[in-house]
Amino acid sequence: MEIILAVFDFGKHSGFIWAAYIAAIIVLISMWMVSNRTAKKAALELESLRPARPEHINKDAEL
Amino acid sequence: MQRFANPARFNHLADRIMPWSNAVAIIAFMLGGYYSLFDSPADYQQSETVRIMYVHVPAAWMSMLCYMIVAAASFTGLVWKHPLAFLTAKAAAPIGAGLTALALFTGAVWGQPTWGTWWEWDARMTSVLVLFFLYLGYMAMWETIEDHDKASRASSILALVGVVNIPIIKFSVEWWNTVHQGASVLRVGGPSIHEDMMLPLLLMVLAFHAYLISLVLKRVKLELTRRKIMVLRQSLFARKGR
Amino acid sequence: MAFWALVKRDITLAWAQGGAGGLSLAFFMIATSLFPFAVGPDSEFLMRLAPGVIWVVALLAGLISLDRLFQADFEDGSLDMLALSPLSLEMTAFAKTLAHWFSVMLPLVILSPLLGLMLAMPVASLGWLLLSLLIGSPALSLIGSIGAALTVAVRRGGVLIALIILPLYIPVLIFGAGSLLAISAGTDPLPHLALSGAVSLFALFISPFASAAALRLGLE
Repeated sequence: MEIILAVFDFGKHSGFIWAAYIAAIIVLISMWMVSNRTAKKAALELESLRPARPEHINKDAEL
Repeated sequence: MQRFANPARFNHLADRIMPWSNAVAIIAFMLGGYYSLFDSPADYQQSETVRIMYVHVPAAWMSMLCYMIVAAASFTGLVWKHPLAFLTAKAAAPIGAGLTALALFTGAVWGQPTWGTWWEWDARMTSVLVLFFLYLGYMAMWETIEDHDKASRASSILALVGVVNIPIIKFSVEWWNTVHQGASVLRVGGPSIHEDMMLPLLLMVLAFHAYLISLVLKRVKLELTRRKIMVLRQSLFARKGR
Repeated sequence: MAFWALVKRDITLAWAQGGAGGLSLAFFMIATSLFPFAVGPDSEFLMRLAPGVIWVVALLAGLISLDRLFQADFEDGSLDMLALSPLSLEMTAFAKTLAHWFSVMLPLVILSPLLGLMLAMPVASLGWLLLSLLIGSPALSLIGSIGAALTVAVRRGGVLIALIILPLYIPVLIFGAGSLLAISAGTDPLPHLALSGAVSLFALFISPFASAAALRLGLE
């Protein structure tokens, strides 16, 4: 633990540097995750609507 | 241009680009992160806090680039009536807002150790703040108008009005700043940057670009799926009504 | 001539019972007189605050009347009639914006020296206050009309207008209120006023087109 802390020790302003990098990681990853999750949800929803489709296509074929 | 307006083609193209941009983003973030934190010199004036620059500067650049994407896509949408262009603008806006917020936050934690203040009404910071407000307005416009077609065009008009106003806002803020504070206190960045700091900065800029490409593509695909859902819903509804 | 008829009609409506003109004027006076209660009656301090306070409150007073600028006509269908009339939609939007300035902003401008006196501004700078508002306020109406047109079909669009328009008001505020700060700092206010006028002219150039484009969208 101490070794890890020593690696990330940037003198008296360490806290500010940590804050900036942690914020960057949080923002970048959370935007990525949120987009991913909504994309998956939307894909699932699209799938659930699909069953209606074959019938629709058949109908068109009959016409 | 017309060829990419086809959603299927776009999806195909996006699927081919995204693995590459993902890989570039991950590698560049890792390398850039390593160099910027451990293998770059401390500034002789700002000591170690200069390391914040490597996330702050790319975030600030991306926040502006994103607004340019929104504006250019809005223009394309309004003039050539590409539905995909509107979706691109819509997809890029929240990313831009997030990166603008990141630029503001990292600016604050950089400002405190270097100039002893969290927030300075400095010309650059103030312009970035205004940019953040412009994003909020644009996104609110999309949210409030229910009809997709109208929302896309109304928010595009707003984005264009915003983009012609950006130079005026920037000029006015700079003017206001010089009138009130004399010469600007902050002269960071600029061309007088140390050579060894260029490598991590360039790596991080590359990483942010690749990240932006990936995420915009991902979100445009998401918006396309949403539109498909909407169309399917409407056709289902119409058939039930019959 | 249809243009001036429309301007006249809108001004009359704004000053009819319950119109935007009187309400905005009342808001302007009441909101400005809240400040001494909040920051204390110290006249030195009020004097420094006065130009900024008057400018910001004037801006907000104009803003609160904006959401009805096109919406009232949109709802009762007169906007459709106006769109069909020989007057182009650009000129229609401009006429209504002009009427907004005459009926809402101009009374505020005329009343502003009185409020400046109440906030302990020196008498010598009251003229400059009037002048800065006179030059800057057209930009407020013009930029505001874009926001009003974009939100014409949105119910309760008032908050949305504020959100999209306020960032665009920043230059107007900087140059307008800045001229008064320059006077109190003992420097020349004319560059500020010139830039303020430039912003108003620029707004005059883009506003009718952007508003008309937005109104077409609402009318579809």
